[in-house]
Amino acid sequence: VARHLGELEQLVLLALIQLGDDGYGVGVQREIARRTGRDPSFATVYTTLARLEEKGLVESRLGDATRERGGRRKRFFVVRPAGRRALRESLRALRTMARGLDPSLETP
Amino acid sequence: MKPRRSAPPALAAWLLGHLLPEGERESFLGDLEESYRIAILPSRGRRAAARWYWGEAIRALLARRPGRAVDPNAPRGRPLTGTGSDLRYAVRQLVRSPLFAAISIALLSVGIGVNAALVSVIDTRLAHPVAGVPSIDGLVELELQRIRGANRPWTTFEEFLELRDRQRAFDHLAAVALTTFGETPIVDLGDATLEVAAVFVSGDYFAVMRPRMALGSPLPVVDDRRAVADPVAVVSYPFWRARLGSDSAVIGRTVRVNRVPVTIVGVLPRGFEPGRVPHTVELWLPLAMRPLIQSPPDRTGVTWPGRLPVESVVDGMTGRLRPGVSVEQATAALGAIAAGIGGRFRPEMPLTGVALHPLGDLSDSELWSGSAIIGNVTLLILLTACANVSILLLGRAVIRRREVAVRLALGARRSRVVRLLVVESVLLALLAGSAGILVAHWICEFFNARFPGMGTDYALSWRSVSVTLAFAAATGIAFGLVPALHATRASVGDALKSGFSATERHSSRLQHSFVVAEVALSMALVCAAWLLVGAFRGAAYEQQAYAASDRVLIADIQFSRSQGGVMFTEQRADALLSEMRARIARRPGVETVSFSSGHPLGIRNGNFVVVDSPERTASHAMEPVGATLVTADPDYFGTAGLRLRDGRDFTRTDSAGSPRVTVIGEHVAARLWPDGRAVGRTVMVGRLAVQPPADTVYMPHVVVGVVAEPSRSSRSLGSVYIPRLQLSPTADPRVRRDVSLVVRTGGPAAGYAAAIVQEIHALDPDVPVLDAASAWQRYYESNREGIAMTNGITLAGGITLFMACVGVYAVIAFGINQRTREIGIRMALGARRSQVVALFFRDGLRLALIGFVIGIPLSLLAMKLSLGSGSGEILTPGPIATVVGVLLVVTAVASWLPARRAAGVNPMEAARSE
Repeated sequence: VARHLGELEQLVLLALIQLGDDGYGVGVQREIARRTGRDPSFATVYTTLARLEEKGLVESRLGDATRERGGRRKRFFVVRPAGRRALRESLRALRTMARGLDPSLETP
Repeated sequence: MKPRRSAPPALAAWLLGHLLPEGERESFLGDLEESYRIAILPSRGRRAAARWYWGEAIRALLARRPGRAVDPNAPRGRPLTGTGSDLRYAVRQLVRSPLFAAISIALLSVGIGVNAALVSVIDTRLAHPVAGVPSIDGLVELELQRIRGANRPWTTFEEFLELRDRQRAFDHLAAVALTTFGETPIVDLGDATLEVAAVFVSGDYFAVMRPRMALGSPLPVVDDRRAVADPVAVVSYPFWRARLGSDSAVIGRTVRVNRVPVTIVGVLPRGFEPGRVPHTVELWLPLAMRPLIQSPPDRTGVTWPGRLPVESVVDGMTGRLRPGVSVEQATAALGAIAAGIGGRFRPEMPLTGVALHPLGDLSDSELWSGSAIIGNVTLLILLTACANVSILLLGRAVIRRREVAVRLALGARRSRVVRLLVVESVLLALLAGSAGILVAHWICEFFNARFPGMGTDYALSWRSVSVTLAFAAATGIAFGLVPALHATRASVGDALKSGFSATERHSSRLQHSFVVAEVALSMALVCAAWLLVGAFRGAAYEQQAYAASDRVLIADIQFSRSQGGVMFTEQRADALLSEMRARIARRPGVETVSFSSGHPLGIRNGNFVVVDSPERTASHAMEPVGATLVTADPDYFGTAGLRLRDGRDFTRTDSAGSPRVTVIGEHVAARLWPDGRAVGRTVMVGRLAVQPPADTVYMPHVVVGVVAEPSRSSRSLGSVYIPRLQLSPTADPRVRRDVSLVVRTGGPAAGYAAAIVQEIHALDPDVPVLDAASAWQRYYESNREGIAMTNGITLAGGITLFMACVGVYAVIAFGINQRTREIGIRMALGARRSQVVALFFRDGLRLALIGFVIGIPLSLLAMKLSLGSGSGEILTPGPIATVVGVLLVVTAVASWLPARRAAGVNPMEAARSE
């Protein structure tokens, strides 16, 4: 199983960490949109989450239902230790690669 | 905010709910709905939010995502074997080849849509054979049988009363009396005066029919024998729409019918055309009012033995059978009564029995025969669509052989692959079916909007929708299954190998046969459709169309009508017409003015005459030729826009004292002098004396012109025109005095109508001027439905041709695109671009030619089949030649454009393509 993360995977993992206990589809999508200015579709978010889960980097459980969701339950995702490790790895790789370059690239 | 308004698009949600993998469904839908309600809807508005939701849904359905491996709480999603995943795969396949999908769906949906619309129309009519009558149980029309089979066996009023009062089989038995031409009443609406087709019905007619009135109430039940104290009428729905401005306050309004004040009490339901009452009837009056309305006009010269006075005749009878009484019992009972009456009222034609015709039996109606042709054309459209799509699908299956082979090699079961392919084509067909329903809906809407007075409200029926969807699904299975079985049968090794090397020769041979089949089939189908369209166009409405023009104004001037006691003597009428002519001709914008008693779209009073040439009369070998004698004033033919084949128009010198002249119709000329010029010869015009002494009196006239007549006037009589002033004093006064004013104008004629009517009334306010309108308006008004039908069926023929063109183009272009690699190799080996293009061009034309050779006998066969038996003489090479020409152009373009494009790309890229 590939240990390296794609960019979207990084973004989704970071969003989940930012969200803490409240990591589900809408939160992840909104967090990415708010911080990066991109607007990923739910299909993209879900595909990425499914891939991360398949890789064993996140795990999920079903939560509570609310009225504005049409009475459907949320699926909460939390990052597993393996996910944190993978994220750390890939962020370090980025930093390493950027070192010594134009100062504007150095601090991500 | 209402909860319903804030819900996301239901269809998209439904699709997601059924197509998403189960493990993801709930949370995904929830997330989407939450976002939709909380973020998107408040900030973007309903429309944009719905668009956003659909966008998300489509992306989700198309997304390629791994199966959910770990799913602790929900039941595990099924592996990629469900129909859901097949469907997703199919959607992806179609999205990936949008042109193929678009062409297939467009072709099929038009074919299916036109068919569904037709089924709907027929269903609508079958469900409501008499529109506006909720129950037709037991409704029958009654026909009396007489000893001599006269072609118009009128019933006398007395016979009807006797029959009605003695029978017990019906609750009510009602009579209908039509007004015949020349006796139709004139209605003064206050702002307009017009001639209106009317029908008189006996007192209990509406108790028999029980229509659901659009407005007001039906005619009250009255005693037919008593004179009416306060005259009332009901009007037809189209009349209410067109002439009374759809005014809902019309009930209680008084109009004048032949100067008699009549109160309108009701508007009949739309499309109310029961039985043999013509659909043109606009005014319904109680039979008891007939003496009041129809004071006998002067009818000099139109009496013959056995003719009954018009006031004492009824034309038809209608009744509703009592519950439990069968048609046979009623026939027997009324037959006995009729036989008992015998010759009491008409000794020359005693009654012998009755025949009953249940209303709503459509099997011998006009709708049925007209829809037979339309049905054939729509069937041809559907066949063309199916042929095209099946060939496209076959072609596609050939291309996908390698994909199929790979799947099989990787261990997929054959049934599994077949299902995959079938699901794809069923999806295609269902999409086309849905689009087809939309098309059918539009067609119905279009007809309803465009022809509101046409009768029934056409609406999609459930039957047509279900038939359409079933047909779509069946088409999908058939088109998908055959290629799928074919593609999965080939041995895996061969297919894989051929995919890389020898594929071109094999698959291009297949492609070639597709092109040939497509050309031949399309040609046959289009030829058959063309022929049907031609037959339909030729059959109807062309009789008058040649005279329709929007630069010609026609107004009917009927001096013979005595209105309010004002009588016009012949001298007075002649003087008025001359004065009228002079005054109108002086108006700015008016080019010429003339009169005639026999314009195709105006008054058509004519005397039946026999014409003959002196040579023929002398030989006594041949029967004289029958014709209609009408009058025309100077410049008539030029003014009316009727083409003179030979000779000249009437002039001012053709007056009472000058030599007798005539202009004859070309068919009359051809009958009299089959091999020679008619102009300059003498023709004998005579009135056939019906009563003894039966000796025809001829009057010689010199032919000065021959006028064109509509091509298919074989059934109607040709015309013989004589200057009005040269007409013999014994002629029917109506031909002498009732004429159509014909004015040729510089601009659209409708704009002159009001001014010209004013001009006439300034001369004498009592001149009865009726219905001033342009020739085109008159044509359109009288033939609305026919024009609609003709346009519709012509359009249908055009659709067939268009579909054939699209199909041929698609198949050829498709084939060339498949050979992009070959083109690349040729280019890499040094072929010049022009050479490659020429090669494919030649290839395309060669295939098309083979297609034509096969197509010609097929076309002849299809044309024969579509016309039915006994119509061989209509088979002409014209349509075939035209269709070949059109398809040839399409073939040329289809083989030139893609080849040019393919030859234009970098050879390396082309060679890599696959």
